[in-house]
Amino acid sequence: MSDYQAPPISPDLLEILRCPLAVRSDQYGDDPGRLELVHNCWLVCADSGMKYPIRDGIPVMLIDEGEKWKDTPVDQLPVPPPAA
Amino acid sequence: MDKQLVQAQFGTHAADYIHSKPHAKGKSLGRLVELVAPQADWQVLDVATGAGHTAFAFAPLVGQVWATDMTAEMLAIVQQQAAERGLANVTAEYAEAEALPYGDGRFHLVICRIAAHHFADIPRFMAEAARVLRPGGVLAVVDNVVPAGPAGDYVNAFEKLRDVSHGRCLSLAEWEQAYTAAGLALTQVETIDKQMEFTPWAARHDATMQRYLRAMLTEVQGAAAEFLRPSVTDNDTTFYLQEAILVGRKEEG
Repeated sequence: MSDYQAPPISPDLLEILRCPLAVRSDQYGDDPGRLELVHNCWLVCADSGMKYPIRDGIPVMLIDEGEKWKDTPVDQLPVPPPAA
Repeated sequence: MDKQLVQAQFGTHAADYIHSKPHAKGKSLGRLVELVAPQADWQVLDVATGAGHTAFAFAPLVGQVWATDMTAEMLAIVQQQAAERGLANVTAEYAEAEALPYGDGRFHLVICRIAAHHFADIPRFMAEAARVLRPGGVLAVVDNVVPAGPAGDYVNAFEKLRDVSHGRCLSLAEWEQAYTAAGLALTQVETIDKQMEFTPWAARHDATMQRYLRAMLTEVQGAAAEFLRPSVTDNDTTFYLQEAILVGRKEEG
């Protein structure tokens, strides 16, 4: 796992990206859908529980994809994320 | 429009779109830039970027371009092309046009060029575009448009027979309603007639499908005929489609 070198993710990207499901909800406060970068190749939304893979440096911000990994604990997310 | 159909269509044809003349060099791209007059500090979102032609046209003029698409093959091309062109300010994400992965009020400009007719839900895309725009921000849509009523249904059927991922082109009146419903004031509308040559347009199909498509041109009547204006020449059959550039603004706070 530690051998994987993910392409760098720009801080600007993290600042602007949100979970496409949670961002439209009024349940999660003023700035819903914030994402945390884990394992350098996953974006995890604490609000919705959705987990979005970053494949080849491109975040996959599709609701279907985020939902697929929702029930996988963060420490069990595959690194790197598997191909689609 | 079925998302998997759209993804399958563009996955298969991803490489074709890089060289596609109407997409790369369409008159609408230069005119779009003129009408929008982007500023150097703008944050720009290009929805359904395809092979990235629109994102690349705006990138040298603005602060940052965020390019989205649903299709893996498309964004791999966008990343590669951005690197080759030295455009460090283009970022790519997979996203649905109807569920944009950005916070509210982030962009000065949202663009969507020659893509909306593939979307499953145009009103929802418009609402999402309005949500991510800053107050005073601009939504610019370029897409093929059709005449109102049954003639428009005919033109959409013609396009869908050729391209299974084609959802529905709206009429200008429907676009005006869509902008208003999203809370955007439409400020500029221009249309461009595009003369099409049947043979390259239908080239992706076999002879049987081409006969069906050609018959839709030779048998067309009434308002649809006035719109398509088919003409048989020595070399090919030509017809017209129409593209609209629509620019609207989100109200200031």
